[in-house]
Amino acid sequence: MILNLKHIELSFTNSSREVFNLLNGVDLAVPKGKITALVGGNGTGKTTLFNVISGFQRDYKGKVVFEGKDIAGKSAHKIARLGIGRLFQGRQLMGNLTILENMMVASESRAGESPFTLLFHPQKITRKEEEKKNKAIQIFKDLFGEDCKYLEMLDCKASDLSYGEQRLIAIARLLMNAETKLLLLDEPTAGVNPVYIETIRNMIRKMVKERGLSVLLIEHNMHFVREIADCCAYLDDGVIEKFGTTSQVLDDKEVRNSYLGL
Amino acid sequence: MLQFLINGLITGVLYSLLAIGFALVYNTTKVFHIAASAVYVVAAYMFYTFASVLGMPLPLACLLSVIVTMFVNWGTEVVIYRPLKRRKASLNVMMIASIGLMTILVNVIAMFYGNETKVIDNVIQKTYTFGELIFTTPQMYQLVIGSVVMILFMLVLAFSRYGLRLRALSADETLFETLGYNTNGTRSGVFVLSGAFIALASCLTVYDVGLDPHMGMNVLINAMVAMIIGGVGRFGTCILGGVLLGVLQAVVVYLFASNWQNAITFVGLILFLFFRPQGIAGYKQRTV
Repeated sequence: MILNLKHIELSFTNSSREVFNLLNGVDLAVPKGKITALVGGNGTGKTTLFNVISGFQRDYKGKVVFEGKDIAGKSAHKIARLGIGRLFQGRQLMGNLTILENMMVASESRAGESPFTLLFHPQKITRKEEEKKNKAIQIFKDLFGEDCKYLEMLDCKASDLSYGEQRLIAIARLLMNAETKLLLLDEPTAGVNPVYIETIRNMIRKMVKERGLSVLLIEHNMHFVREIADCCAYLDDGVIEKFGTTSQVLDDKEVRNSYLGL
Repeated sequence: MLQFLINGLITGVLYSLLAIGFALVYNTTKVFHIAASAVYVVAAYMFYTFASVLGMPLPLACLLSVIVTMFVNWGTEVVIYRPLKRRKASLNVMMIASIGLMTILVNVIAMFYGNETKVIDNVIQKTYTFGELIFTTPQMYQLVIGSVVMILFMLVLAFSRYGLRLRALSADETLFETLGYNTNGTRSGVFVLSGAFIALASCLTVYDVGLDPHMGMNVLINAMVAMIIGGVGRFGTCILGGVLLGVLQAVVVYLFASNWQNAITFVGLILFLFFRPQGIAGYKQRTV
């Protein structure tokens, strides 16, 4: 297992000052090198659970164990450096940066951030920047093909791209950090047209098969989940009600009744 | 006329320095750092204390003033903005807090130093003549030091990864953190660097025209206008906006009278906000 969530509990206070428990003891083991789907109704705490894992929500009880280490209480940037990449639901690319800069800024290499490196080792910065550029180009070629249009658009502002295209680049960007081992994908296909959904499906499969990454994804598109996910967890009432292979969970009578409305 | 244009250019360099100091914070954190005007005043009084009260050499007094101001500006982030951000305060709340902080700092300085105008170096300054152009010693310092610092800053932004890091932070703090960057650390660095620019603008100005506790806001408004005219979101545009504003003010003073100087600043601002809100070098972005 690459990630173990042990009895995660989290409560909020609403505007009427009433305390309600969003997560009531979530236990989830995410297998290594597999695609795990996290499904459940709106407001059941799926994105909040992602926030817990990635360090944006730290006032919870329980343990988050990543590769055998308890990462509870660590800040988001430290967790990212440990190897957990995240795709947000609404956030895509940094609009004021070019496509290439969006890729390069996600690299694990921090060379050149200090002005002193510029003063004493300017050639090191040039070399590293060139390496990052080549890596970004290689990622595009691997994921979108040798003659993909983004290779011609590296210097275009990310804000020039459509929502769907930004989604594709945002997923590709997750590969820039060589230390990433687990991807948290929050509704990767939301608002994306069918052609791009097919592309995203292929991208995620490649990431798992060719690079050995593990994926935990939130998705409401059940057709997509059935096609791509190896296992599935159903979150309801703040706990994982069902966990198993995707077909086991999605064909479960209770899940079909309460979530899919069938 | 040429003398007025050169004077305007030098004033523009000072506006540009302060505009970069303000833009560093605004562009990266979106905090409308009005307290920068008080930080500007703090820098001036530190310079006055080190140079005139303690009798230190001017370069040393300026250097110490810059260092103290860097810490003071960082203090505004640590003591005011960061706790407010942690409590999920809106940017409007932060701006109001910033106004409050500015008022407190300015009044504390007025309490200790008095409201009257003070001068740093009470001697007749040497002048330099180039053909028909005359430069005073403070003007030479302003032009040379200001230009060198800004060129160095632009080189660092262009050739190091620091500029990319700042632009990434300005785009989206949450994404920035998710990519493994320490948001608080980067913000601290931004405030420290901003303090250096504010202090340098302050020292170079007050060496020429003297200081009083209430001078900060007027200068900051000019710097903010320079930033908007140049184009919000980038740093090089502050230089463009600052120089343009300085020259424009000089031309107005030459053609009309000095009391039109502030009026033209706001006429320029309103015209830009109406017809080119993205500034001279800004660009319209697709809304996704």
